[in-house]
Amino acid sequence: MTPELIQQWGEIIIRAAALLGAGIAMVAGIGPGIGEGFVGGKAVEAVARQPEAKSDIYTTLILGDAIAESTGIYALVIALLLIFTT
Amino acid sequence: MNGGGLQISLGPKVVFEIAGIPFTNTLITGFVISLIIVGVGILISRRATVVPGRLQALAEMFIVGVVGLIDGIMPNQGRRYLPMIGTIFLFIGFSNLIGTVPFMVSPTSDINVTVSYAIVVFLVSQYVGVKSKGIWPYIKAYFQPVFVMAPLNIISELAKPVSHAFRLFGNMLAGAIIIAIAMYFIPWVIPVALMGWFNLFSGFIQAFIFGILAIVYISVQED
Repeated sequence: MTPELIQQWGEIIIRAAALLGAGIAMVAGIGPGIGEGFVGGKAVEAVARQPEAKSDIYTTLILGDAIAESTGIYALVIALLLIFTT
Repeated sequence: MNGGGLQISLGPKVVFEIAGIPFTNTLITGFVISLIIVGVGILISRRATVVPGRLQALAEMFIVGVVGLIDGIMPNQGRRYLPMIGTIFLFIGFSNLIGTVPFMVSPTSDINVTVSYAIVVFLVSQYVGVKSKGIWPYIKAYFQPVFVMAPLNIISELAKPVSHAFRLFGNMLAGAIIIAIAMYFIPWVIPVALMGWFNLFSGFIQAFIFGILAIVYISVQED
């Protein structure tokens, strides 16, 4: 093997590993999915029990969704960095 | 990434330079949005009447809504934080919506914009903490409940602006990338629906979340 070929192979392996890593990173999407489902379900229960507190529940629901979502967004940013910067 | 005709870039593009200072497309869009907001604000406040016109009624509804939102989390502080929180709502809301205009890039899909907003919110919240508690109780709060917990408390405090910035950036950038990919495969009809979802609905929700979280971070420090 010539040095050029070795370098080419190295770049291919790094690129493949980065793309694989991006795919694996997005497994973190499971967590926010479950969490937001929980938040939404509980919010529906709360509105069914107390329809007059709807606006307060909505604000809390959006806030809870945002917090639950943040791990998924971290994973997304890492995946995007792996795809576009290597 | 250079796969065929699919052109996706993570960072902002430099349009032109003046005296070595690069002007990116997101920066120019941000200036345009600021000018529009300031212009509309001056226009409304110059012609303020007791019986509001259409535009003034809209502005009053917005201000009353924001004050009510802040009052709900920090009682009787709504008027005090209105300028900051209102600006955050307006600028980020407009930035997210402007992505629907063809060839315009949302300034919020640029990490520099979101990080600078998060840093402003972080500095204000720390200042409010020092001012309302006093300097010694403020420092002592980091050593709660025991002395060993100090590094963890500091890291959790520093994680707030990071997650605050990356949430907005990640959401808007993901929307932009998905629209770009959809436009490459299906140039008709479908991207319009995606733009409606990602820029109008998701953009509105994200601006709301960014503002609410800013209020919450400030109110946590103020005790």
